[in-house]
Amino acid sequence: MREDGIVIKAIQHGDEEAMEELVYRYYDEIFYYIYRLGSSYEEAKDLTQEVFIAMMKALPKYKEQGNFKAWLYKIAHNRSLNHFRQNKKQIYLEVDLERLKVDVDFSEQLTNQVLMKELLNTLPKMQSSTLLLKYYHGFTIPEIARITGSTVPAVKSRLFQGLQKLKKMVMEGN
Amino acid sequence: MKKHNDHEREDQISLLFNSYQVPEINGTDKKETIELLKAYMPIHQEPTIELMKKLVWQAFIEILSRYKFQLLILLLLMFMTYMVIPENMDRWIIFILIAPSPLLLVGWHVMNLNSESMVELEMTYKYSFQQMIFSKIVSISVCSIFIYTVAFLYMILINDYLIATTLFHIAVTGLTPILLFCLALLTLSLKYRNLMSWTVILLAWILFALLSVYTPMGTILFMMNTSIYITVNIILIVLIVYRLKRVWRMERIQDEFN
Repeated sequence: MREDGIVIKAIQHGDEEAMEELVYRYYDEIFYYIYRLGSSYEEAKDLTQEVFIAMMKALPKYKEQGNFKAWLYKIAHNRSLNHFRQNKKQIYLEVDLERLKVDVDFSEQLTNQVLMKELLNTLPKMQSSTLLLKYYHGFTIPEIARITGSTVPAVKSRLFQGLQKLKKMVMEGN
Repeated sequence: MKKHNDHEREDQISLLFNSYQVPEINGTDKKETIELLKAYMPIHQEPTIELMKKLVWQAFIEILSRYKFQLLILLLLMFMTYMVIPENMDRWIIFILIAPSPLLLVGWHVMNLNSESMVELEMTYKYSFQQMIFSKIVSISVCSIFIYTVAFLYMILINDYLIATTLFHIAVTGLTPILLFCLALLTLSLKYRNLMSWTVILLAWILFALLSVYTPMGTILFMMNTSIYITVNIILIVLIVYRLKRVWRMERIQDEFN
């Protein structure tokens, strides 16, 4: 697999195959990040598309220094948060039954899906995005700080508070 | 007991994180995105500096091949100034007055591109007309400075009695008309590009040269303090750089040349 830097250089030189390679590499990650932040499938699809368009627009002036993935997530983060700000109170808790994977226990999966989405949606967006970036996308705290435009202590605090709230909610649920 | 409960809750949270299933992404969604992104593919452009270098070099070759005899004569004229001009005239003033002559010559060529068909032809060029103007003016200015420097070094060699401060003064003074013509060419080539405007400039320079040679005006100007010429040259360089930047950034606007 080619490194991001090489693929980006190729795109900057007009290589369409490189662009396809990059989309296939990051589409799922970006889509799931936006989806888990509280979007519907269709909404996540449109936002993901917007993220990639913004990436293409910015790419001619972009200089890869080994942090392309974080840069792409930053675009996704900003786009999603703007979207949520503009469409306040529209939290998607409906579950697309058709799209659910069927290789695990269906009822448990459905329960967890709704519960987790509900739990994440009760948290402030900055907190939920910090948790998502840490636990689902494997970013380090400094990387999360860069993506979300915060400081390292702020990210640490959000992680701590977010987890505390989740624990509390789980406890109340029990 | 409390610790046990905490562990249990943490386990529950990690279980929740792990079991949070996400919908499968439809393959056509990715393909749709790829198709859409094709419209946003960057068009490969040469880096500006590389393009400038390339165009300036091309313009230099073009000017050299078109005006090789004229430029050679000018170079010889500058070399011969000391020997040809009678002793009762100030040779240095004449030397300085001849310094911008390559610019005057090529300025004629730049100004002569005003016909309708030329404008139409320009529209088909790979590079914009402004970029061509830029490269021609830069290359001829560099060429003028080079010719002046070579002739000046030659003059130093045959006038070994001159002191360093005088030489510096002559060097700085000679650059002023070159820079002045460079700025005039830049301004006129974009705003009043026709032969008449350049003829006026040319006649004005000839009149100024005659006045400088046959009246005390030339000596007065030549004797002015070097710092004044340095200041004027700096101002001219700033104006030229500003103009050149504008010329390079301008889009192709046909009306501007009509």
